[in-house]
Amino acid sequence: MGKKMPDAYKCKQCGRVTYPKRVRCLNCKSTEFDAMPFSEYGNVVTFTQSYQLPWGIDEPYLTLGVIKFDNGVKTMGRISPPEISTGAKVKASWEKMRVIDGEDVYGWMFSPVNNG
Amino acid sequence: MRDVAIIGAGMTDFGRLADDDLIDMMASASLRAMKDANLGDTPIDAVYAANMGAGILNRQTGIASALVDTLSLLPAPADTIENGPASGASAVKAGVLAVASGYYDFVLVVGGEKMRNVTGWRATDFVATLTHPYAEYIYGVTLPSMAGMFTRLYMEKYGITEEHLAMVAIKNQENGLLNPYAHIHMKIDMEGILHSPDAIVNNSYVAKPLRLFDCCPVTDGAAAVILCPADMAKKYRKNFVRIAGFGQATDTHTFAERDNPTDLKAVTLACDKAYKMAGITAKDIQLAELHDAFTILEIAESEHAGLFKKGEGAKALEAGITKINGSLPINPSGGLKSRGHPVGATGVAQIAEMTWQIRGDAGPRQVKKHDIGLTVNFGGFGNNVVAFVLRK
Repeated sequence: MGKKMPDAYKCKQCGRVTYPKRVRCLNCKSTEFDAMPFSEYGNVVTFTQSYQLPWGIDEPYLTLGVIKFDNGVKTMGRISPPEISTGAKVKASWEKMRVIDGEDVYGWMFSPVNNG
Repeated sequence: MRDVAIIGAGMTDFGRLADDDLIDMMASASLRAMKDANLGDTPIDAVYAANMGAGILNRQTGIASALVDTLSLLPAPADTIENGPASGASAVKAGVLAVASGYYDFVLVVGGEKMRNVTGWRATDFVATLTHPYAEYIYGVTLPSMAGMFTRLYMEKYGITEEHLAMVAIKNQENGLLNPYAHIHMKIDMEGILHSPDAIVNNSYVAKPLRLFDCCPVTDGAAAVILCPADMAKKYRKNFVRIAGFGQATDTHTFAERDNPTDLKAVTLACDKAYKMAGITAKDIQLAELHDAFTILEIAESEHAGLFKKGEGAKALEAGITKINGSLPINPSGGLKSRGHPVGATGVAQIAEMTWQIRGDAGPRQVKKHDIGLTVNFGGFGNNVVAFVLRK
């Protein structure tokens, strides 16, 4: 993924939201989608600290999670700093993740939001 | 549709097989299965070869073509089947359909994977190519990390503890001690892997809350079975095993897309189809070989396959029901946890084990009641699942 933040998609027929883009809606099989922006905040569905990373990643470990955005879209991403719990509120940003085949690859980074 | 029988099964040792290349291993398992089937001069009509990643791991493709050549089975038709970690059971399914249709009579199905010739990092990266290329892979997501995310939710929802996960590891490594083919022959206990001061070193986290002993090893190995029409089987082996049913189902490619991330829908659908075809219910299953690539999966699959109610898999484990001498043994072979997980071989190895168990040929790991058994081969993170019911 490049530097530009991607869109999520909303089915024109039934309204189901999805990411990444798919050919037909999982719910109604329509092929028509409207692009929609991700929202700024979301909540942690689940997460892990992963210590055994694939080749090509230099960090000692990563915090990875599934986030449900406020507008209903769900996606995976990295979480930093790592102190987090399920249900916690996070702020989303689109950042450089790693280099693959000499190219910078961007993705979602989520940061815990202090509710206090 | 004709009824289909398994008349032979064979495996290589699972482990780090540094001296054998992939085709050697697959050929060795094939010869053992052919010998076990007492085939004599009966020709093999077709070959289905399961392999997930030789193109990446071994820089070799066209596995089935290479295999039939070295086995001198030319000009038998031969196909390579790739369906991720469920490649093995998918290849058996292809073989079963071919025999059931009446098109072929004697079919060799063999699965193999050679993974230990690359570093652990490379092997982890290879398996991660199953994930979505830009919604998952780019983050450094691995199968253990997906399993970690699943485990956290499953533990929270059903009150499963690290002790429960460790019980699966301890049980399956105990079973593995009785299986000469198993990769891991090591007795472990709760103190050493969880409660002692050294546990964090002995059993460090791989993907929280999963630790080292919650994950299957990276393994080389191959397994094979010989199929034929049930009405021809007796001539080759009196105690042949019947394919009573099979089922397969898929689920979303990305883990995040699932409405309920703790629901392994494809496991339930695949098992229900297999039970229906066999004319049974989950209550009739006497033993199971489940896909415990991670300890949590043995518990979760046992529930999604209907062997126990949701949330009761861990209780069954605690009560010893799933031990070899329990009333519903799970993974008497040691499972992926102990036998190992050469990804393309696993589904065939599960069916080979079930064949031996049903025949009563499983030696020291033989379970008491063994007329009808379930195998579950789990691909991706549950996005492609193949189940079989085998019976006497």
